[in-house]
Amino acid sequence: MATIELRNVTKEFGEVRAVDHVTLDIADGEFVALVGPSGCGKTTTLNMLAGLEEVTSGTISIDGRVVNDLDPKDRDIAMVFQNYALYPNKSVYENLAFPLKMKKMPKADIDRRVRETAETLGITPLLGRRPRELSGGQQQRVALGRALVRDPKVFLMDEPLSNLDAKLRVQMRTELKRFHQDLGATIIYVTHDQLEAMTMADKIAVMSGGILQQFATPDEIFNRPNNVFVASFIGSPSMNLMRGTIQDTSGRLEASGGGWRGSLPDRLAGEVSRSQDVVLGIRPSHIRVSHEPLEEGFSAQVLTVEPTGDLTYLTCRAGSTDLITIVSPEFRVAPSDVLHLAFDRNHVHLFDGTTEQAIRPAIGAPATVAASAWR
Amino acid sequence: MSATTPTVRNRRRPWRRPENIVAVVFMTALLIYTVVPMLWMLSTSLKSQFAALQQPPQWIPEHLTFDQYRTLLSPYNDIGRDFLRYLVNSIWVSLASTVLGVAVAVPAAYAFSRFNFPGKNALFFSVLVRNMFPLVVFLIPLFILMRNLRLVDTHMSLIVTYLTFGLPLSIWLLKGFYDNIPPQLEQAARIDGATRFQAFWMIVMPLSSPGIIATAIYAFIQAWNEYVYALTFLNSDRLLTLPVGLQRFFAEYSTNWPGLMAASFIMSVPVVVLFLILQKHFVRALTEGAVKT
Repeated sequence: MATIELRNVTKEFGEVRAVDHVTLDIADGEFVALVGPSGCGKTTTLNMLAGLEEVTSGTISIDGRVVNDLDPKDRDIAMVFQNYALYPNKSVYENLAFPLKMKKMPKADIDRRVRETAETLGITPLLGRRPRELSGGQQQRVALGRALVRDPKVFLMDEPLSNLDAKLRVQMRTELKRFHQDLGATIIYVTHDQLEAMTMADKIAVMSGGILQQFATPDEIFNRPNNVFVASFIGSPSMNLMRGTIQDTSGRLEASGGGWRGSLPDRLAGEVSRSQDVVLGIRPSHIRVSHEPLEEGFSAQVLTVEPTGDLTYLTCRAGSTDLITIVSPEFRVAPSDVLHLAFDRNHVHLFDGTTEQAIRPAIGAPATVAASAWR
Repeated sequence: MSATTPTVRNRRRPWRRPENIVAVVFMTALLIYTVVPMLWMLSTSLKSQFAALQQPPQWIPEHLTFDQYRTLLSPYNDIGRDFLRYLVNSIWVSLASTVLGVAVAVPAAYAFSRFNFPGKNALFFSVLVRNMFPLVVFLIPLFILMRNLRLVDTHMSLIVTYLTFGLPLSIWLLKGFYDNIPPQLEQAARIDGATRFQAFWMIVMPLSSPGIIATAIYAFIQAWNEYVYALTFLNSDRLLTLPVGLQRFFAEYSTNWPGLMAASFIMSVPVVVLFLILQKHFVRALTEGAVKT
C-alpha cells in the first residue's frame, strides 16, 4: 500500500492543456475518486499516474519516490480499464496469470495465487473460458481479478462500472467498496458519475477543464462546494444556481434576481456588500414549498411534476428563473398551480458573480484546494 | 429486416426468393466463366499431344496420361531441369519479397495505427498513392534505377520491386487490423509488467496474426504471378521465374499443348491452395479494415 503525491502535474497535447497544475496528496489506503465531465482531464491524470502518458511538467511520487520516468511495469500499480482490456486470446486463467508470469514467479506460486484470487471473486468456474464467452459482469470481475492477483501498491480504475447495466452497477459498487474496506488498498477511481464518487470514495477530486476544482471528502464537497462548477456537478437533482444581486431589505441582507429572493445566513452577512453580483445556490431539498405564502418567500408557477415514488420533483418558474424543488408524494400539486417557495437560509450557498468562487466567512475553515479561476 | 425473418414458405424454399434466384444464376455464370478454363487446362494436360488437337475436343480424355507431369517434374531431362529451375526461382523470389514485405509492413502499419507523428497523414497517403498507378508506369524508371544499381538480371531486382509493390496494400490491410485492437490491451500488458515491445509481441502479434497471414499470402500470390517486370529485368535463362519461363516454353515447344497446360497447372496449384487457406482471413482483413466496430 502506498501514498501518492501529485505536484503541479501538467499535461499538454500540442496546444491543448489537458491537465493544468494538478496537486493532490493521497494517503495510504485512501479511496479517491477523480470525477468530472468528459474531457476534464481525469483519465489523462490517471494515465500519467500509470505511466501510460508522459508528464509535461510537475512530479508524481508513489511512496515518496518520484516515478515520472518510470515505465508502467516498474511502478507496481494495477489498472482496471473501462473496456476491461482482457487479453482476448488468453483464457481467464491465463489472463490472471499474465502479470505474475511477467514477474517471473514460479509456476506453482502463480497457480496458487490465481486460484485464490478466482475464489475470492467467485470466478473459479470461469477459469477455462475465453473473455468473449463471459457476460459483462463476469468480464468485469476477471478484470478486477487481474488487478487483484498482483497485490500492487496502488489500484487505478478507469470507469470500471460504466459498461455494466444499472442493476449490476449498483451491485458492483457495493462490492468494490467492501473490497476496499477488506484490502485497505489505495485506490484511484475515475468516473463521470458523481453518485459513484459520492457513494464509494473517501475523498473526491472534482476536475473541470484540466483544473482541479476541489479535493475533499464527499461531505465537504456536497456541503461546501468551492465554486459554481462543483456545486452544479455534485448532487442529483443538481443544485439550483441563480444569478442575482445583494440587497438590503428591512435591515436584513438578501439576494434576489428575476422573481426570486432569499435572505442570507448570518455567517455570510459580513462577506458581501450591497448591489454585489452573486450566484446563489440552493439544493432542491432545502427549498420549503407551501400552498400558503411564506416568510421571506416568493411565489412560483409549477411547470412539471415528476414523481419518483419516494419523492416528487417539481420544476417551478419564478419570474424568469426555473427552480427544482422536492416535495413528498403526498403533497397535492398539478402543473400550472401557483406555489410559495422559500429558501432554507442556513443552507444557502453564495458564489461571487464574477469569479464564481464560493463566498465564505474568512475565519471559517479554509478551502481545501485553492482552485484557480473556474473556466 | 424482412429478409432476415423469412416467412414459413420462404424458409422452406429459400432459393425461391427472387433475389436468390438472381444470385444463383449470376454466381453460376461466374463460376463457369472462371472454372471452365481451369478444367480445360487440366483436361488438356492429361491428354496425349495427338488427342489435344483432336476435333471435336474431348472434355474427358479417353486415355489419361501423366507423361507431361512426369517430364516436367523430373530433373533428368532438359525440359524438367528448366522447369524445376523456374519453379525454384519463383518460390525464392516470391518468398523473399513476402518475408521482407511482412517484416516491413508490420512495424509500419503498427506505427501508422498507434503513433502520432508530424506528417503522418501525408506519409500514409503517399504510401497509398503508389496503388493508384498501373504497375507498368514504373517499368522504365525502375529499369533505369536497377541498371544504375547494377541489379538488372538479378533476383534482387525483382524482390525489391515486388516488395515495394506489395507494401501499400499490406500496410493498409494491417493498419486496419491494428486499428481494431484496442490500445488498452497493450496498456494493460505494460501495466502488468511487459515492456512496450513485449506488449506488442505477446499481445498484439497473436491477435493480428490472421491479418499477417492474409497479407503475406496476398503478397506471395502477387509476386508469384508477376510477369512484366520479370520479363524486363531478367535476361539469363537460369534466373527466369515461372511466368516468363512458361512463355519461353511456349515459344520453344509451341506444338506441345499438353506440356504447356501441365506446366500452367502446376504453377496455379500454389495460388489456389494458398487462396483456399486465405479466403476466410482475407475477407476478414478487408472488412475489419473498412468497418469500425
